[in-house]
Amino acid sequence: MIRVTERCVGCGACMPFCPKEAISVMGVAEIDAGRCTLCGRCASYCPNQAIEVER
Amino acid sequence: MRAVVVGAGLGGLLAACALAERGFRVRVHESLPYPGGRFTNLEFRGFQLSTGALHMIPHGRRGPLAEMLAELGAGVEIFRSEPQAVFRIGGRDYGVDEVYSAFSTGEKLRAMKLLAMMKLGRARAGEESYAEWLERHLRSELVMRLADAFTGWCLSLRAHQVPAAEVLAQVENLARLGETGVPDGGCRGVVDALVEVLESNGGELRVRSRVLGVSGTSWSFRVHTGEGAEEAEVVVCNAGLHRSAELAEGVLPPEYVRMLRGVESVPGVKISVACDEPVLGHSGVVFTPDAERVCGMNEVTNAVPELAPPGKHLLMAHAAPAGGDLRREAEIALRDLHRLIPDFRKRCRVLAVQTYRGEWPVNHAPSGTHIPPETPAGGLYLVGDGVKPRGWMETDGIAMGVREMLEHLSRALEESSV
Ligand SMILES: Cc1cc2nc3c(=O)[nH]c(=O)nc-3n(C[C@H](O)[C@H](O)[C@H](O)COP(=O)(O)OP(=O)(O)OC[C@H]3O[C@@H](n4cnc5c(N)ncnc54)[C@H](O)[C@@H]3O)c2cc1C
Repeated sequence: MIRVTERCVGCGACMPFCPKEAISVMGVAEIDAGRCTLCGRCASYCPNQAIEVER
Repeated sequence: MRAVVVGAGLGGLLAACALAERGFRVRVHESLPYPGGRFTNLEFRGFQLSTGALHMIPHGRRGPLAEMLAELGAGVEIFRSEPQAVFRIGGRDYGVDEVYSAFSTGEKLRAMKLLAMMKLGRARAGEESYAEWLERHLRSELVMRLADAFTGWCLSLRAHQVPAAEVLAQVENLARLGETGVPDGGCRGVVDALVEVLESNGGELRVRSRVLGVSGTSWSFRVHTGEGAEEAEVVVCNAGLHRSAELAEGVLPPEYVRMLRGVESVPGVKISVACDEPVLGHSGVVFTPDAERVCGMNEVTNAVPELAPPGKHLLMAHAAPAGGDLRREAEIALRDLHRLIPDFRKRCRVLAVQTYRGEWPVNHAPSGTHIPPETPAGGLYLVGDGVKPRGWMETDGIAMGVREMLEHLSRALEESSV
C-alpha cells in the first residue's frame, strides 16, 4: 500500500525520482498504483513526509 | 566552539560555511537525501527543473548573495540577464523604460515621476499596503496590474498584500544594484559550491539526518537526531518558522513560540515548460500584467543552455494564487500560458506543475514580516526565508538575514565570556 497524505503540497520533488514514472502532480501528487512497485523512493525524497508506504 | 545547523537550505548552508570559516566545528543535518532545500535542481527528462526557485538571483552579481558567495570563496559564476525585465502587455514586450508608452498621456508623466522618486529612495509610505499607496499617488488600472505582476513574481503576493514601505525599500535596492542574473548550473551550481566550501573548511554535511528536537539552555544545547544527541554552543535553525518553533519549543519562551507559529507562509504555483526553440529569447524576467494568475516568466536556458537538453529550452512561469485551492489556481495559470505564448500547443510542452504552500512554500514569511535572526535563547538563531531584513527579497534577503545573524553572534560572543 502506498498513500499520499494531506501533508502533500504538490511540490513535485518526488516525481523525478520515481523509477517507473508513476507519479503525476497537479496540486497534489498522485501515484499510479498499476505502475508503482512500492520501492519507497518517493517517500524518502518528500520534504514533507507526505508519502506512507506499507509493504 | 561547536555549531549545529538544522537544514541544508540556502540559509543553513550560508550560515554553516561562514561559521566553519570563523573556526566553529560545524555539522549540518539535512533530512532529505540531498542539500539545497528549495534552491536546487530536479532533473526530469533531461531538463533541470528545480525544487523551488526559478534559477534566478534577484540582484545578480551585485547583490548580497553574490557578495557573500565571493567572501566565502564559493566560486559560482552568475550571468547577468539582458534585458533585466520586460513587460508583456497586449502581446507586445515593453522594456522597463518603454513601458510608459503603454500609458495614456495623462498618466504617463505622473507614472514617470513616481517611479523616479521610488528609484531614488525619495518616496515615503506609512502603514498602508503598496496597492493603497499607489492608489493614493496615481489611480491607474495599468499601474496596478504592473505592480501586481511585480510583487507577484518577486514575493508571490499581490500589491494589496505587501506593506508599501517594504516594496519601496526593495525597489530602491533594485534600482541601486540594477541587475538580475542566473547562476551557472542553475540553483544547484550555488549549492554545490557552498557544500565544497563547507567541507574544505572542515564542516560536515549529513544528509538523510532529521533533527528531532533541541533541548538545553542558552549556549549549551543538545541536538537530537535518530543517531542520538550531540552538544553545541550554537544552533542555527533553517527548518522554517513553524518547524523551528516545534523543534526548539523546550528552549524558547511560549509567547515567542506562539509568535513564530502565527506567521503564515506564502503559497505559489510554478509551471515548467519544455520548448524546441527560444520562446522568450533572453534570460530576463517577462512580467505578465495581462494574465489572470501568471505574474511572470523566464527562460534561463538563454543564459545557461545546460539546464535543458541540447537545442531545447526551459521556460518557467510563476503564479501568485488568489485562492487556497492550488489545483484550480494551477489550471487558471495554465490557461494564462496558452494566451501569453503564441502557438503554445505547437511550440511548448508542459513538464511539471508544482505548487507550494504550508511547510514547503515560496516564503516562510510574507515580505515585510522582519523577524530578527536572534531568538530569546542565546546562541539559538533562525535563518532562511522566514528571516529577511527590510528591503531584501528572495535569496538575496536570505543572505542579508545570515549576515545579521553572524553580526549578532560576534557581538554576543564579544560581550559575554561564552
Ligand atoms: C516557486 C518558487 C520560485 C522561487 N523563485 C526564486 C528565484 O527565482 N530566486 C530566488 O532567489 N528565490 C526564489 N524562490 C525562493 C527560494 O527558493 C527560497 O527562498 C529559498 O530556497 C529558501 O531557502 P531556505 O534556506 O529558507 O529554506 P529551504 O530551502 O526550505 O531549506 C530548509 C532545509 O531544511 C531541511 N529541514 C527541515 N526540517 C529539518 C529537520 N528537522 N532536520 C533536518 N533538516 C530539516 C529541509 O529538508 C530543507 O532542505 C522561489 C521559491 C519558490 C517556491
